[in-house]
Amino acid sequence: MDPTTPLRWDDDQLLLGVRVRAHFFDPDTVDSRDDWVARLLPVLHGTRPRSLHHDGERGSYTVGDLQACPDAVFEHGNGLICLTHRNGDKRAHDPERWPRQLRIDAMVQCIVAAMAVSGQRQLPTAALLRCHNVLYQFDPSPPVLECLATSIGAAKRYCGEPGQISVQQLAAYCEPRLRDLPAPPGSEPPPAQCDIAFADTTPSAAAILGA
Amino acid sequence: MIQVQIASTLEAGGVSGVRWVLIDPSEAAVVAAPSPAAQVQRAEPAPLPSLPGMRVRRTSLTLHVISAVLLLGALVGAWWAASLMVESRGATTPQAVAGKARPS
Repeated sequence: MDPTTPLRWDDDQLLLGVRVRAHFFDPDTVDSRDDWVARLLPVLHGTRPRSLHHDGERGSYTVGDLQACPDAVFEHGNGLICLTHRNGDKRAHDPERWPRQLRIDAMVQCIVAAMAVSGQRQLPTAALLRCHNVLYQFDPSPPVLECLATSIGAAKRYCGEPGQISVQQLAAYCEPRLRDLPAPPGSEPPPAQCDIAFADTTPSAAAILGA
Repeated sequence: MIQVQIASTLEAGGVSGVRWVLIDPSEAAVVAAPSPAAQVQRAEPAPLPSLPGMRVRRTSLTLHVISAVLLLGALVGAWWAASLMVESRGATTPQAVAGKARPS
């Protein structure tokens, strides 16, 4: 396979200044694969990135005062793949409604984790989020990256953390600021409330009432 | 400054379209140095000098006089009300009624 072959993405949307690409797959087929890397990255056919950690192990990555422990990090050609795996949530995303089902906080956490990995390894890193039946890739715009990178100190003061702050803390601090950024042309309006709540987070009242 | 590079495109053999941003690691030192709370305390204005003692004493004396007058007034009022009640009760006793009814 040609290394520069474009991958098959089923959809592409701009959410809060982040270009999001979605690859949908049959979870039964993919989860039955023997290779755990192929299970996590179904968009890659014929290539197998090399994992920097064993299956189930997490590495710790630090840049400045930001610390991240992504679910998996792979060496992929000239760069890295930082993967967040939402394996606790078994709800499927709809190919027609996924922009409203994708949680913004999960997206921001995924980008922040990729920033920490890239900062420590000094390699270009792709931010991926693997859900039950879809794999997302996030391409943040320069204003989004700048907002995240310049908010670490402020988020640390806001959280009152004497040491390093986590990906979740920085993402929670930055999410309202990202919503305030001017929307780039052609972007989807940010979802006020996602239709799907992850199993490891508390569903909001709006999500419960809307169900 | 630490450079962070996020790949915008994932390809079959690698990544491309790198966006980068710089993270300032020295921001932590700025935060860790004197805490903002200490700076705020140090920047607080000095407390105002206390008022002259004479004036303070005069104010408290006035307060004492007013409270004493009020207390005395309340006592006199209570005494007057009680005496009125006693007088009215004495006028309605059987002896008083009998004395009034006795023919002269």
